[in-house]
Amino acid sequence: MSNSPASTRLVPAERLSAINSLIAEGAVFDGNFHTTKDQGIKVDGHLKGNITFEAGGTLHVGATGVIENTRLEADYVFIEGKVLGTVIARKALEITGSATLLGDASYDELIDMHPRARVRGKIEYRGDIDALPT
Amino acid sequence: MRVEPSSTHSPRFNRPVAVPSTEELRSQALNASWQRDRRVARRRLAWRWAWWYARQYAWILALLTALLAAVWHWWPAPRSTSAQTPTSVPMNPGARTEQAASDEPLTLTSEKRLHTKEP
Repeated sequence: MSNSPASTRLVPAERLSAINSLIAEGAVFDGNFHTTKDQGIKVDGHLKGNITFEAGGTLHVGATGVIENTRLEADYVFIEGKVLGTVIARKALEITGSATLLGDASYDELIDMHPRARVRGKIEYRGDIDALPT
Repeated sequence: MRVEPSSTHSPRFNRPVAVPSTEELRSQALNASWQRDRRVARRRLAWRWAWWYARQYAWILALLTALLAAVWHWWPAPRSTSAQTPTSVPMNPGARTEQAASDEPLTLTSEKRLHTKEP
């Protein structure tokens, strides 16, 4: 049995391992997910609605996951499945080669897009564009 | 009317059942999910790369296929052993002479007349 999540480049594996909510494959969830705590959610099923982490937060859209009509906001966003909507990653946004993103994405610090990722939308850096590299 | 025994009297009721803890359940669910992710993502990625390669190098494949077809079509066929046998040499000389003789018109030449009993 595998005890490690998918190989990531940006999103720390510890963050993915600490995820404590799951929408399982085959499940359909219609509604919004909102929390003020630094938690995590993994979507393997079908979600119609928003996901908002006011502080911290890790969002993992699994390879079988589909999220539509959405606005996703979290510190770390790791997309392997399909997202239709807006994505806001306050720290790191990673889009893998199996992912499809139809919508705009913005990030504050880091972004990583694997080859063969399918993105149709605007990618926006929300940080200070003229800031010196630290 | 048959009365089923109550479940409270079933020996299964008193059997201790190991209820997984929340943490155990969470980690098991995540592990299963990661395994499925890996499988699905790998398959999808392989298809995406294959499709991209197919579109990228389709003209080379078409060219190679056409070339192979052309070579197959116009390449001279190897000469078979029966073709190498000279046709002028009959396999059965007797039959050949009979055939040749039958093809000749029936005219009596002086040589043939010698062997006939006609006057």
